[in-house]
Parts: sequence; structure tokens; C-alpha cells
Amino acid sequence: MSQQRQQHGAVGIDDPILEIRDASVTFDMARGTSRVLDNLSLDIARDEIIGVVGESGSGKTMLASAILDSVDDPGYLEGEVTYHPEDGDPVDVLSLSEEELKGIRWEEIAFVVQGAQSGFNPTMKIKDHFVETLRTHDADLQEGMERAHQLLEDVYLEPTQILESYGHQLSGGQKQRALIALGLVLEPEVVVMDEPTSALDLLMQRSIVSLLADLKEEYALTIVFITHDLALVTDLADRIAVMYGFEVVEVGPSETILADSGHPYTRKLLNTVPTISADEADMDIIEGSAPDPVNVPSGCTFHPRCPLADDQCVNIDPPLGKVGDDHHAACHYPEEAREALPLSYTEGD
Amino acid sequence: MSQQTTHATDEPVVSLENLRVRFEESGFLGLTGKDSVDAVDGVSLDIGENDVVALVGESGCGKTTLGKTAIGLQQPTGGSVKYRGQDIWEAKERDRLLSLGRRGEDGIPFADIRKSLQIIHQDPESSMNANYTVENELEQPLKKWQPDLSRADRKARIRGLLEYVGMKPAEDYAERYPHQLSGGEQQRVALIRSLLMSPDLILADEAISALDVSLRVEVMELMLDLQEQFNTSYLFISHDLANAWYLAKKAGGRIGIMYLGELVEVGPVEEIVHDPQHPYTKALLWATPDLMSSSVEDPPIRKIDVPDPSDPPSGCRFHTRCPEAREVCGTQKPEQYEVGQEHEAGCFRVVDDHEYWNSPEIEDDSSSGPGMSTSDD
Repeated sequence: MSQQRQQHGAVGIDDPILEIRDASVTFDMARGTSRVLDNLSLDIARDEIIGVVGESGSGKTMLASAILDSVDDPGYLEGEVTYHPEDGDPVDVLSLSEEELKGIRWEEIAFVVQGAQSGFNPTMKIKDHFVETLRTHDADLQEGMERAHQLLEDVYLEPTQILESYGHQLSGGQKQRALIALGLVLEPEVVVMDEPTSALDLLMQRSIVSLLADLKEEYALTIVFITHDLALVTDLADRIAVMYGFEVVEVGPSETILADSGHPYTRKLLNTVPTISADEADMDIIEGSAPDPVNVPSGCTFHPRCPLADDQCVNIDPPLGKVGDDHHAACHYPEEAREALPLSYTEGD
Repeated sequence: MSQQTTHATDEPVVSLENLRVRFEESGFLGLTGKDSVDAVDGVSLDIGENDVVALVGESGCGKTTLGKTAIGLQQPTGGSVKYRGQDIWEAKERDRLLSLGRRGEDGIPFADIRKSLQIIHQDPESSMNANYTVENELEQPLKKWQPDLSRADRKARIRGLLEYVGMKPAEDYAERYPHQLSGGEQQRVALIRSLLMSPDLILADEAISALDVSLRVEVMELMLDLQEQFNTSYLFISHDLANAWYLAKKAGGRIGIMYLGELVEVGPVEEIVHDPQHPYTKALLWATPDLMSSSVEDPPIRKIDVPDPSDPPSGCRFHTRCPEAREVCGTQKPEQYEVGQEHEAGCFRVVDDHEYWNSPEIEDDSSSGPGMSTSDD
């Protein structure tokens, strides 16, 4: 059993690059306090790709904002986020001033958004976005633009042509790849990506996923890949953190999550993925709906939708407990869950 | 014995023949003159009774245009679209002449055709009247098409259907407005509304794409369930092969793969998934996440980006991205070759004695795409 850290739900990771402790985000609303991140603790290891998976309303995007201390007002963020640079002292991210934060954002921790959503200023060429980013962070312009060229080539874009284009002249896939290149131009250690591929076609999605695997190797990146698409990220990620009800309910190595997950929600989520190589078209349904942030269920937040729930689940919120090697799940009955909820794609021969 | 291609039913509900839809667009800032895009270019496809055809392809491949043309919402610029043997646009013209008092041939009235061919959209809310309750919304088709129904019967029918699709308590849901429904609930209402027309074919245009993963299955199950109840066919359009697979497999239907306006492969679900013939179908299968086979391999395409649809490549349109392309692919256009029962593919590789096999491979320039960066190997 993991010791003192278990109460935080934190997973003992060697050499974490980011430690998130008891992060909560609340909004005061007319009908009560809305808690959109609930005492979340998570370690992110240096040079890993971690997939953060959750349905809409699970709090996964709020986690991204919390990491960069960029929760919009009137949201209120509590907890701790510690960044450990390769050399140098740990940085308490949430206590930094705006000016100090600037030195962390983009330069150390970059954020890549969905290209379709915001991305590029329509009045500026792609080149201007690179120049502006470099200037704002007092980076050497010539070196920076050389890197930009290389990065654009890395993502299979023709640098001279792309840099002279405006955002609207690019396809969705080109825009997303240009945003990834832009995110990497200041040589960050960590890249947080929020649904970086979900607006794109499957072929482009998967192509970008294999690109990211290459980029990670080439630039020694730590990647936090936030997505609703569990199947997409399992190939790419070293570890997966599953979010439900504004907290992490399970975290572990991807293969372990796939083969032996211990949380009923994860197991049900895995069974909702269509597996076209399977003989039978069996897909599960998760009855009910995601919890209301103003009125989060007592005990385990998943209990109203869980087939295994009993009194204990209604009353006591289960901590993230060890259920295997480097594998933690927040469930009172991980063994029973494995028994009661077989994974459809591993069944049969 | 020479066997002719026969389809499941003698007379298809909808029959597309060499269909072409060309859009004229003004060029960028009017500088480059007029561009035209063949959104659909020479597609033939029959949809039978109680049939399910799932059309899959990347955005811009023309699948939505093809779907809309199949249900008479978009007029083709070439070829024909027939409903039970009746050319849809000839019916419209005939009805127009009739309304002017001129006599025409007999045939199925255009209004009946339109009623028989329904659509549900990706964004159901946009197709609903924001000022109507669910009950008002669902009353409209009943009033129009079953005017004999009493008010009480209409109410009972609507409540029954709402309950059937799991929107309980039905009295509560009947009084709600569209914005008070979740995406999944809106899609259910849209589905009921189109089914109340007793259509022969429903075009489901990315109807589940906007829903959360766990909800998609629910809506697809409902579609399958209602298909049995109402004897409807579906033309299901999706960019997602996995969903197409699920729906078509459960219904025993077919999958059609579109690329740049052309139907490059069509066939029974099992054959498309386990024995794909077209390299583009193979690429889409590679791109479809699968929990049973995990590996981040390089994409089986030579270029990551889709060519400009207004200037499609010569010969086989996929040849610029195809890992199997040879020089002949850039100059000759493949036909649709029969490769199995109701299974066709537009690739020279399915023809044993095609000159493709003696044609030199295409040499690529620079590192223009995935799989091309060979410097480290």
C-alpha cells in the first residue's frame, strides 16, 4: 500500500515534473457553489505522455487551466501546483505574480488549444504569431524562426508557404499542426493539449497522434493530452488518468488501464468504445448523466450510475487506492468491479 | 454461368446513377475567376428497403452532398436520382407543370417523395422551432399527414413514442422546449419527428457526432430499434468508421467509403473491415482507434493533407497520398471493379492483369508526408 500520499490520492511518481495537490476550483452561482475541480491530486512524470480522459463536464479542461493558473474569474482556484525544472528549485506556480507566470507559461509549460476554437488572429500571418510569441518572451528572433521552420517541417508543413499564410487559408489539420509548432517554439518542457485533435477527421487525428509520439522523442517533451476519446489516447500515452465528477478516479499505465482497470466507470467507458476488429458489435451504455457541479453526489460521485454501489459508496468517498503496480483507483470494490464488469474486447479468444 | 449483379430488393427505394453535383464558387477575392468543385463525381448506389448504408469519408469528401442529393434536397448537375423508379427532379418538374394546369405523365408526386425521404442533422436543435414545446414540434407531422387523428389520439401517440425512446416521464418532456433538452434528447425528438412521416429512408447526417461517446451507442441502438418498428432504411453519414461499423454491422448493412467526391469502395461491413480492397479504406481503418490492437505506426499514406477538391488529382484521386501508387494511377482513372457480392472497389490493384502491375512506382520528392522521413533509418 502506498503510505502517506494516499490520502491525497497522489501516485508516488519518481521525478515528477508537475505535482498537483488538492486542486479545487469553485464558482459561486445563484443556486449554490459550483465545484468544477474537486480536491484533485496528480503527479506528472518527467518525459511521459499522460492521457487525461473524461467526458464533457468531468472537469478535464479545468485541470488544464489549473496547471497554468489560468482559471478565469470568477472561478476560484485552491491547492498547490509545483513545477520541478530539470535543474533549479521547485516552483510554486500558484504563488507567482503575473510577470513571473509569463516566464513559466509557454517557456516551460505550453498550452495547445483546439485549432478550430481560437488559434490564430485572422489579421495576422502565421509568421507574425511566431514572431510575436518570440518577442513577448524576449527570445532570439533569428534562432527562434529557425526553430519555427524546423518545427513546421516536423509536422509536415511547408514552412515558407505556411508562414506567409493567414489562419483562414489553412485546413483544420494544418491549423492544428501549426499551433503545435507554435506551442513548441519556445522549447517548453511540458505541453498541455486540450482536445488537440477532436475537431479533425480520424485520419488527421491519428496522423497527429503519431506525430506527437515523434515530437516527444525528438524534443524530450512531457505531454499532457486531454481528451474525451479514450481509444485515441491509449496508443500514445504512457499513463492514463480517468476523470469523473471533477476528480481523478483512476490512474495507471495505459496497458494496465486497458487490461485490468479497477474502477467501474473506467470499465464501462472502455466498453463504450466500438472495437471494429471484434467479431461482435457489442457496446455498453452508461446509464444516467454526469454529476451536477452544484450538487455533487455524496460518497463516491459515480455511485448513482454504478451497478455495484451500496451504502458505503453512498456515504464514503473512496480515496485513490493502490489496485496494482503504479495503478490506483478510487473505488471501494475494485476486485468486485473487475469481476462484475468484464471488458468486452478482451473476452473470448 | 454469367451472373448479373442483383441487389437485395428488386426495386431500390433510392437509386443513384452516375450522380454528379458540381458547385460553382467564385475564387478567392474574385482574383482567380470562377472555381468549380465536383462535390460528387459519378457515384452510383442503390439503397433498398430496410437497408442501412453507412457513408464514411473525411470532411470535404462529398458525403453530405451525396446524402442530400439522395433525399432530394440537392439537385444533381448530372446523372439521376430515383425514388422507387421515379426520377425525383422529373417529378418536381411534372408537378410544377401540373400546377400550371398542364397535363403530364403519371407518377409519384414530388411532395410524397419528399415526405418519404427524411433527414436528421448533426445539430438537432437548429432544426427545431425554439418556441415549440416537444409536443408542438411532434404534432406538426401528425397534423399534416394523419389529419384524421383526434387531438387526444395525437397526444397519446406522442406520449407513447417519447416513453418508448426513454424520455420519461413523457408528460414532463412533452412540455419542454428544445433548449431544455440534452443533445441526446434533442436527437431523439428529431428522430421521432422524422419517423412520424413514415419515411422509407432517413438520412442521418453526422447525427451522433456531437454526442458524448457513451451517448452515441444509445442513440444508434435507438435508431436500430426504431428501424425495426417503422421499416425504415438509413443512409448514415459519418466521418467515424467505428460508428458506421457499429450501425451497419448490427443492421446487416453496407459501408461506403468516399474520397474527393467519389465512392472508392462499397461493400458488406465484414468485408470492408476485414478484407478492405482500396488503400484509402485501409488508411481509414488504420486511423480508427481500436482497443484490441495498439501501436503508433506511421500512417499508411504518403501525404497527410487532402488535396484541394477544386483541383483534384488526375487519374485515381487518391494517388497523391496512396502508398501503393504507381505511375499509371496518375494517368488512368480506375473503374468500380466488382470484388465480391455487392462489394466494389475503385483500385487497379484488384485487377490481376492490369497494367498497374508493370507500371513503375511513383517517386516522391522531399519529406512531404509521414513515412517519408527515412533519414534516421
